[in-house]
Amino acid sequence: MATAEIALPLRRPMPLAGVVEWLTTTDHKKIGVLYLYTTFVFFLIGGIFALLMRTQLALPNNDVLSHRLYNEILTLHGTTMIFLWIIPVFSGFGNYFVPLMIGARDMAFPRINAFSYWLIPLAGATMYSGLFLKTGSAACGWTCYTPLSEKPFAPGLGQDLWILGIHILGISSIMGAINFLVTIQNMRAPGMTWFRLPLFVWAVEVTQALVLLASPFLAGVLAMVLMDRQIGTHFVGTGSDPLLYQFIFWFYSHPAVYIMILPAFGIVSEIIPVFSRKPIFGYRAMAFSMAAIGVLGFMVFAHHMFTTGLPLALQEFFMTTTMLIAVPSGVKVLNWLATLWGGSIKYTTAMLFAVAFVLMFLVGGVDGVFMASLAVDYQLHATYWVVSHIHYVLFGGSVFGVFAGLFYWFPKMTGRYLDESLGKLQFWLQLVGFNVTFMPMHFLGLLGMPRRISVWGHRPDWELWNLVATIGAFIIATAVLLFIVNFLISIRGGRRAPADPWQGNTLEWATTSPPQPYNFETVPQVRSARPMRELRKAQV
Amino acid sequence: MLAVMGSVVMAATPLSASAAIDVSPLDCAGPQACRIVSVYAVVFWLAMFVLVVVGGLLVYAAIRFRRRDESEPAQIHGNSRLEVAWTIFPLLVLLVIFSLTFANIDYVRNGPPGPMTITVTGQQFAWTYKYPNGVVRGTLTIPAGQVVRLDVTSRDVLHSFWAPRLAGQIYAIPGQVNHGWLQADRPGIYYGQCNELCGINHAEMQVTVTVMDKASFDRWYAALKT
Repeated sequence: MATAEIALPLRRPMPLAGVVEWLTTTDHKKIGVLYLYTTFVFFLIGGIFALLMRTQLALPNNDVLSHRLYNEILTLHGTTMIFLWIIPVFSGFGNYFVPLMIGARDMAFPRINAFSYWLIPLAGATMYSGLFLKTGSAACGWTCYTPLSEKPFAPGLGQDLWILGIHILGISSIMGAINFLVTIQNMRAPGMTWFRLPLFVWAVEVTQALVLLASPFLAGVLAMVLMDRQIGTHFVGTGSDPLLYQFIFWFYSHPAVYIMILPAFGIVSEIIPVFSRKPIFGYRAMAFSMAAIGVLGFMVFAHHMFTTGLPLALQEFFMTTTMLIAVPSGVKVLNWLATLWGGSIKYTTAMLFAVAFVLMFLVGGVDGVFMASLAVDYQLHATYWVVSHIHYVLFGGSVFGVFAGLFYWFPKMTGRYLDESLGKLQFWLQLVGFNVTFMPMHFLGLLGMPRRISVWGHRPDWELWNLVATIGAFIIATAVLLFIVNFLISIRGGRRAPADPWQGNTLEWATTSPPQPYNFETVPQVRSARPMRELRKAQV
Repeated sequence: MLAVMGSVVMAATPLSASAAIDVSPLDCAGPQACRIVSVYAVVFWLAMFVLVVVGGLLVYAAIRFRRRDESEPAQIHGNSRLEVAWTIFPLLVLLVIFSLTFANIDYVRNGPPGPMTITVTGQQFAWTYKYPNGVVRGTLTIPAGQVVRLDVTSRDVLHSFWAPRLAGQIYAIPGQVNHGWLQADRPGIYYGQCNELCGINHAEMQVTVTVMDKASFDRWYAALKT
């Protein structure tokens, strides 16, 4: 035994050096990876909430969940998916790829970047901690309208913890937004002009501008609720105008919808040209339409309030802006279509997800137009039609965009491919499961089923579609499990990927897979919107 | 028209879906709800048209232009004329929907005047209805074929008053009275429920509207006492 001890090296590496490295890193790629892991865990938690809800609603008069617990899970499902999954998962992609795509060595403020990340698990824990209180967590839906979220109707501490959680996320988002904007403004490689910027970077730029301008409103109005609850003010609760809360809330939360979809636009706009082997059709129109969506996104918010009795003239104004914002969205869909047209399309899993994204987003855009019509909205507002609409945009849209991005960039991040056969199986399961879940919700809305009800009965014509939707939810869950299996296999044993596995267009493919800590040995000179393509041609 | 649209929704719905507990806004039973259905119908067909044309082209392109060989396809960067065309086209479609909504919205929202106004008050977790004579009831009873004006308010949190077969929903807001109206064409019982999350028993906050023919209603109302 003694000899064995002598044989050991004198200087051992610090115990848990790897863990410490990850806990203290300020490298934008490592922080990006932390964002992706963390938010994916939140996606799974939010997914379990969704399955619980669908189980409860599968059959009439079901009693899997109590009313109280259903309302809590409903609230946490929405909050988790929006604030802890979709918004920050794109910060993960942005962190990893914005510096690489613009030819920078890191984000502008690396330590603020790390701080923004570490606030996210803290916020999640704060919000969920309400579940362990006797009085439960917040139970007012992700919108938490007043007066329902005020002290007399929600006396428990869970409501305050929910608000604090959102506040923490707000700090994280605002610091992240400043970081992204400064990085994109100042750290572009020589020759990377605004109109040579990859569309994903354009998307991040517009998104983060929205985050910076809109988030303070949400933080502000929730601070008012918090003060009403804790020190007895009357900003937005009983005794004041309850609609004030909704105006301010939606002034953030409608732009938030674009915060959740624009980065996916960006990802898809990178993937479709690469696998069609064509440049994006109408680059400038794509960039300008995102900017237009960003501006118009601030002018449509009261369309969430058409049934609250606003003056008709005001409703008509918001109907007009709501219809206008459909135009740039339509331009984007048709430009993606035109990019595919005449291309030489290779169906990797990433491309399948990207094309499905366009189709699902089209459905989610078209079914949204119904509610822009005031008259139709008086009937469809807050029904399952709306649930269907937001999921076509945020799941069929954003989440499909996330998976497209994961399959596309996994080789860059790890040096290995995700398994394509498992990936394609996952894709088809997910596409079918998604439509089986959410298409019937259109029908349920037309059959008069309100959203956010914890139980239903005596409605024979709702039975079939509720059951179908629940079956679909479990198909989606199977697809997500397949992804986890694929990930676990591929991270260690996946096929090795070269630096530029897809013949990409953008600079992240110019460095090794995975990239070195400083990204580029020499920062490349940029001469077009597809710098990597030029580098490849120059080498031939 | 409704039959065609309804078929999309109801084709696969079990036959047991009798009219008795039907709450579909498409199955309208009063002039306001039916006016909304007429707007919905136009939006529906326009939406279907866009979905079929654009979705069809997408699926066609996705299949037709699969990679066959390794040659690089023509590098087309855009086409201003096409892009202007497909900026204007959706604008035209939306203009149709806008005009149609605009032409009908005053009727739907404000409606014709009516002889009777009933105050509808939401509270956790029930509705009460106060008649002009001061009597308060737990279910709404109205005469058929006559406009009934509603003043909707709330005693605690937000609620949304909704009888889908008769009229669009109206928010019940504490400290505010929202004016609305409804009318049922035929006697019967029409259901609905609160459509704004209002607390723990939100799902059980039902709306029941009993519609009587005019003569029966007049007799019922005359006998109505506190």
